[in-house]
Amino acid sequence: MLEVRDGSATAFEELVVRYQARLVRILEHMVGRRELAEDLAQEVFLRVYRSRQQYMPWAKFATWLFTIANNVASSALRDGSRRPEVTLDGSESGPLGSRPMDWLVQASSSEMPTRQFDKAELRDVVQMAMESLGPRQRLAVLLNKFEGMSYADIAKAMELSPQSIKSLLARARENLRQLLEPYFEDGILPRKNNKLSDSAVASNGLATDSEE
Amino acid sequence: MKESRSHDPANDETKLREELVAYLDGELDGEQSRRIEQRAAVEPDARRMLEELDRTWQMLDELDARPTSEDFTCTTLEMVALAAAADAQKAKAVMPRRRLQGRLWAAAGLVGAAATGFLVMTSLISDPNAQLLHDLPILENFDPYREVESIDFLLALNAEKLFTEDADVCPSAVETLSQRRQRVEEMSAEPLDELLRSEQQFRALSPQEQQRIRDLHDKIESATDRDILRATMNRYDKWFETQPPFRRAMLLDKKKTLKDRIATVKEFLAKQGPAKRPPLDDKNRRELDEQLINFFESSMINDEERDRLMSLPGDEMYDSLSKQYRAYMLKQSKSAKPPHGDRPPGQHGHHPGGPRGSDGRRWPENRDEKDPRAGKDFKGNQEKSAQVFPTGKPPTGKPPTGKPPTEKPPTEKRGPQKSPPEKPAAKKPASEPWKEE
Repeated sequence: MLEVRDGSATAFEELVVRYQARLVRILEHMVGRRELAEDLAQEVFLRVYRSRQQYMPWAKFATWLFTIANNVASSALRDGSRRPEVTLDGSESGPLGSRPMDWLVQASSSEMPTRQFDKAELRDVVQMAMESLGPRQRLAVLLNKFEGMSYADIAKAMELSPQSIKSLLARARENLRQLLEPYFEDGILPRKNNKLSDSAVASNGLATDSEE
Repeated sequence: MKESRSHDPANDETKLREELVAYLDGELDGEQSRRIEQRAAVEPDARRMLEELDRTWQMLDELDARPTSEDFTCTTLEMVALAAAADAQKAKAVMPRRRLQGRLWAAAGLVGAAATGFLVMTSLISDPNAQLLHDLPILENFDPYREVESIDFLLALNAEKLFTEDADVCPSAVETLSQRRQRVEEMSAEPLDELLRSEQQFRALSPQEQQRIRDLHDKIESATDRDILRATMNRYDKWFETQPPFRRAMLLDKKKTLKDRIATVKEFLAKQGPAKRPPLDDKNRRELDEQLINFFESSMINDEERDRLMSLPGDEMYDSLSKQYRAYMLKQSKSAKPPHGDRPPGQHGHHPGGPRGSDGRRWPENRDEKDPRAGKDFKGNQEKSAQVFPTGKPPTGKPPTGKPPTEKPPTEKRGPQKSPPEKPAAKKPASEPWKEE
């Protein structure tokens, strides 16, 4: 990044190549749409380039990058003024079709004792569980799980305190546990909204923005 | 846990969960970790929660990461380059005082030149082609002049011994206006068309930018080592054209200091990959033709299509076959998924015969789509070609006179990169400015 700051085009090219897939993955989970995620990733790289002079050598580049990504994604979600929607097409979304949530709601209303522990289905269930988290919980989980970032670095990227991140991640993981554990144990597909008790939603901030 | 439950069970549970999660994430120190382990050993609820939190965390591994699309890197870099160029333009626009000062100096220069240029201007007014002839050396080097920007850059390239290999420097002859006229009259259609296009672009520049290019030309011409500078400039131009759009934009970045520009050139020279792809010389052209012929004869072209291609005029057949070949190669390259930096030329917009990048230059096949003058003369008049050339001579395609034989005129390399089988001679475009006196 120091080379980028000093105007090296090759270094910038390498940064893009190195981080693009990771960035797009995080953004895709944040906004729910691949195409939008790629657009936002380009916006993030543009901001990195424009503010390269402000980069401080003691900051980790990944932290700085995901700070910008967080701002860009938050702004996009605000502009959309709605929860991110999933628009994966059928071929990409596996056996649950293009609207996995609808399918899951229907399926969970009837007993499916012989349901196989299908890998594609598992992926969709996990995906859905992630989408059920609020944006902050989701980002904290993604940075922790896939970027291997420490609480301190996530705190910097999300402009929160490490203690807030600790609480945020604990709530996020509890939410995931409540959604995914019944599926793991008994093959029970989670239901939208009412899988968790109201108190759980309230206490864990599930799918709400009041996660602090 | 039992002790804290007596106070606030919900709060205690939340606290425990935070500690368990932090333990799983490796965020606790040694002492804290030991406490959690001891607690999990004696409390079944804590142990179960720990296991479940860990298990559901592992399930997130199912969220696979899809690679980004092949074009993503290129489009990202191009977008950033364009934005950087726009920023530079904006920065330039917010310096009105300096610009005004520049204009004043330019105006002063023009006033000074007015006296000495009077005779030249008089002749320009009486001859509709005179302006073009007068600017001919500039127009023929229009692209290189825009690329090098300043004579200091050329001097720095020389000082760094960049682009000085194979120094086949030949002294250039000074042409009189009549020699220039004769040379233009003898130009074949493509160089002439390119010359007229360069003129159009040059006239579209601001007076300041035109003056800057004229000044650069004058400085090079008056330099003691002008032939060396010119050879360096031409080699730099050839190399520049092999660069992908993003790098071209970086090389043209006017915000950079001279030192930074040279550093960028060195950096790109050192970098392996598409930047090192040589321009399409005769050998490459022959190879491309050979590939096209092989493709034409391969099973990729069915008999019906082969007959159709054979029924087309040479140019059309070549273009059609080239397009199919590029599409085929692109498809092949996509299925092979080469790593970034080693993509087939088409993906960088540099496939021989393919469209150019963002610098506005085009390969001939695009002319039909984009050039409003295609199929017409400079002002849409093809039938006037007999009038256009006062001598009435047909285009000879001979090497231009007044130029060293070893150095092609710069416009020639921008002509079509093709030598199709049985290609008919291209028609010579006419030009209204280039008309009979």
